[in-house]
This record gives sequence, structure tokens and C-alpha cells, in this order.
Amino acid sequence: MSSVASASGTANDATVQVAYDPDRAITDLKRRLRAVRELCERAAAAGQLLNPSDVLAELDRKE
Amino acid sequence: MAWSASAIFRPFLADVLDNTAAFDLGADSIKAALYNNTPTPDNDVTSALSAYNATSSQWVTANEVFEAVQWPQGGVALTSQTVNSATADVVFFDAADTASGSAADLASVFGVQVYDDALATPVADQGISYNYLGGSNSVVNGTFTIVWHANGIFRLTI
Repeated sequence: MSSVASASGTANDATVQVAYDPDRAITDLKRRLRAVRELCERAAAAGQLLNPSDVLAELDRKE
Repeated sequence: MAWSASAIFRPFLADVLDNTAAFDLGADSIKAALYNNTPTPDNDVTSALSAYNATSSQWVTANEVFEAVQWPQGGVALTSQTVNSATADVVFFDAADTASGSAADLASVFGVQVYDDALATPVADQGISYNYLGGSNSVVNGTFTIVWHANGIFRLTI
């Protein structure tokens, strides 16, 4: 009687690595803070209250 | 249900062994598409249902995580892919780690489908394997890299 030729196989879990470019992050933060400052200045000049949703939208805005 | 493990699609191996589909893992454009936790991956589906964006499959674009340019819909092509048979009793498929662009925003990435983007017939974009990423992964304005396992994307021991 012959034996069975066998094999086993598996796909392997992978992992994720996340990396940030520090220069990009700092540049992006500065840009967002400048934009928020402009929002504040415009609201102050107009004697208006700053709309929080505008601030959040600016902070969330992608480059 | 959700992601919990990795597996080779059964029809992939069957279709290779009986020459139903002309996979060439060393030369074809093999892509890695990201998915959220909606799919319930199943390695025993049909060839058609293992394919990328197959209708009524787990791999529809509604479940895919992508961002134009950074990790485009349809996935990122593997590089330096190889079918390695240099070790006794082992054949494995591997590639260089697969990275996004440097300003990616991706959220709730649980796993990746590896499929043959060059395969057009009998099933286009047929799946090879699905690989679990261990849970939820995300990136904000950074580089998202899949680090393939030291044993490769998949491994056969004979």
C-alpha cells in the first residue's frame, strides 16, 4: 500500500509599520496653525465669534 | 464576522495545479488591496468569489480601504516578488514590504487581499491569499507599510 504524498501550506499574518516624516509634520502643523490664526484675526476684525466648526475643519484639512 | 486569520485561497492552488489559470507569481502584477473589518474571509470560496471586487464577494470595493495616489483603489503592486524554492521541503512566495505614499490617510485596515491583477481569464483578478494584519491599523498623513511575515506571504511545506 502506498503512502500519501502530503503538503501543508499557510498564508502568514503580516504586520503594519507606520512612519511619519518629521519635517512634513512640522511644516503641516505650522500651516494649519497659521490658517487658524487667520481665522481668529478675521473673526476679531469683524467683531464676530469664531465658529468652532471652521477651526476644526481647518485643522482637519489635508495638505 | 470579521478578520481573524490568514489563508491561501483553495481555488488558487487548485487552478494552478490543473492549469485552469495561468498565474505567474514571479512576473505578473500582483497587488495588495486593503480591507476593513467587514469581510469575513473564506479560503474555500469559488475562484470567482476569491477575485478582487467580485460581485457578491467579500472583496467588493465597498469593503476596501484606499486613498487616491497614496494607496489607490485596487491596491498597490508588490515589488521584488519571488517564488522561493531554495530551502529544502519549502516553497514560499514573498515580496518586498509594500508601502503607501508618504501622506496617506487610512483607517480601520484589518487585512489585505493579495490577487493577480494581470490575470484576465478565466477569472479576472483572481485571489491568491488574504493576510490578516492583527487588528485595526491606521495612519494619518504618513507612510503605511505592510511588513510581510518572515516566512513570506504564503508558505508551502512539502
